Amino acid sequence: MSAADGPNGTGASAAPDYEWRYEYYDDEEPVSFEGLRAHRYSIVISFWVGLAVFVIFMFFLLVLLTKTGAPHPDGTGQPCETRPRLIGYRDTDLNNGAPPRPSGLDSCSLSWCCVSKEVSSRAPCSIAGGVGEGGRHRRPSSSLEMGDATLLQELAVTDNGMENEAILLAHFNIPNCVNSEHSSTVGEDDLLLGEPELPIILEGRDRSGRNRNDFTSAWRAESSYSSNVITQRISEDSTGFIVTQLGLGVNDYFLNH
Amino acid sequence: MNANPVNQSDCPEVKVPVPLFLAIGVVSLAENLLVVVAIIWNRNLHSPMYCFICSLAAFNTIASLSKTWETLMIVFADVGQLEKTGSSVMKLDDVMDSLLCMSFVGSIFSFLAIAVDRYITIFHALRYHNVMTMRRTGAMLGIIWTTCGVVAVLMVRFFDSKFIMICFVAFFIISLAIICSLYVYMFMLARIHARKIAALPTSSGGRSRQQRWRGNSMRGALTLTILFGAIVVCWAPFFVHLIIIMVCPMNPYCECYRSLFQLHVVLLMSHSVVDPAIYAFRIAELRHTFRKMLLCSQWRRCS
Repeated sequence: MSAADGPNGTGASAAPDYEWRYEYYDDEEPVSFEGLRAHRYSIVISFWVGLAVFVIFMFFLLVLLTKTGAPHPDGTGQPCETRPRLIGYRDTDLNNGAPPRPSGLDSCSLSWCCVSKEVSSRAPCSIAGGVGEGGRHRRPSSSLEMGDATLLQELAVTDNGMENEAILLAHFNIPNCVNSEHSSTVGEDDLLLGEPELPIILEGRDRSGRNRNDFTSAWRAESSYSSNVITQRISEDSTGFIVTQLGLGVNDYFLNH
Repeated sequence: MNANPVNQSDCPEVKVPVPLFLAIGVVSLAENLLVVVAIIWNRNLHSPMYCFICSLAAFNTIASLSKTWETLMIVFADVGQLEKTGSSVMKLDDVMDSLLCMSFVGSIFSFLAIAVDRYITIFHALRYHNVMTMRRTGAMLGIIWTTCGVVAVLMVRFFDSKFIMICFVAFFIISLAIICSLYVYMFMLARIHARKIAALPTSSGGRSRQQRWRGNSMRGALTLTILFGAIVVCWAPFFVHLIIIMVCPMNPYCECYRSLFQLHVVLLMSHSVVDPAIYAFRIAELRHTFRKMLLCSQWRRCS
């Protein structure tokens, strides 16, 4: 920027004599350099050292946040049914024009069940896949199976929806009936460092078969939206583990059905 | 610290060679223009998240354009082709400063908007499509651009006043705090979920799962550090410069910091170069669009 204001910032240089240089200060400025006790660039050095320390500290803090929650095998989850549950939708290949169709909902593609223990004491642990402007018409039965191992319902997206989804989500105790989908284009580079994605769509249904149809139709209704859809991608590596890829943001991910 | 008295030589101003300015400006312009064109061209990318990224790229484009233009004008002025004190030249200088201010403020607003959008995506996932409609996105972008334009004009008009600078610095610090807290909160939730999933007992042993979980966590921490660290490292020196101008104009130590002004401006411009790599190029859909745009020999035939 061209330097137009004086060094003392009081607006003394109101005269319109712009200097077309990057010098910010006049040469007549009487800054005395006598008797400096510290190095001339001490402010510069201390600023950059402070900045580096801050960034490194932030990095280690984040790593510490991850390490303090080391996973341990937890067998307290009740076995839940491996019914098909829709967790996300395919939003890639929108270039292809046709929205993805849920083809394998009958297979146990993704199961993500909540144990009722944790949740029964709370308001309905509700999660839904049916999100969208047209979501209001999708309103299947939404009762929490209290004594049940599975907890699911489809939440209608209304303004009366769950206000504390994040709290509920944070309290889910995920049982052991998780399958995964082969997501063929999932790669290591698509983790947090790569694609931003979303960790959250927990979805469930109760045991009635009717809800399966509801899900299917909701899934289809949702997949017709061309905008970004919130998905959760669960990929399985060759050894059969389940890796959830979490990220920041919404992006195009898919589930193979 | 060294107790010997320093010579009377002041801190000479560190000058950055003009080709470096031009190179950074041109690269930044090319990248961000590519992002803007790709997002506008591909109809699949007309969604709130991409709109905010496009807005960020547009602000960076304006910044690099005006900076490059100003550098060229200074080069011409030094050579003698341009009269330094002509009124039209001064008005042009004002316009370019306004554009620069507008793009700085707009970049910060765009970072905020992207962070809020991602936050709503994660924490209000089920209502995302109701909360973040295209109409609201358009309204938000309209407000952001209007505010930036107004603020830019005000800042250049009243740059002498300390109040404007204080507002600018305060705005930057508050935005940075909001962005940092949003991302850390999102990161923590993501980690909780990853931990829960990794804690699932499966048939196979848990050891490599734990390693995979740790690997993911490290990547998440690295992503967040890069994202936030780039903002801080590139923007903070310039803002500390502004603070120092207001606080200690006559101090020799502050003078030595101020002598690095051009370096700080270069850092600011280099953030425009790094931004697409952090936000836009990570998105697979955008990369596909770039490949189609750049490698497609015949435009009409590309789908």
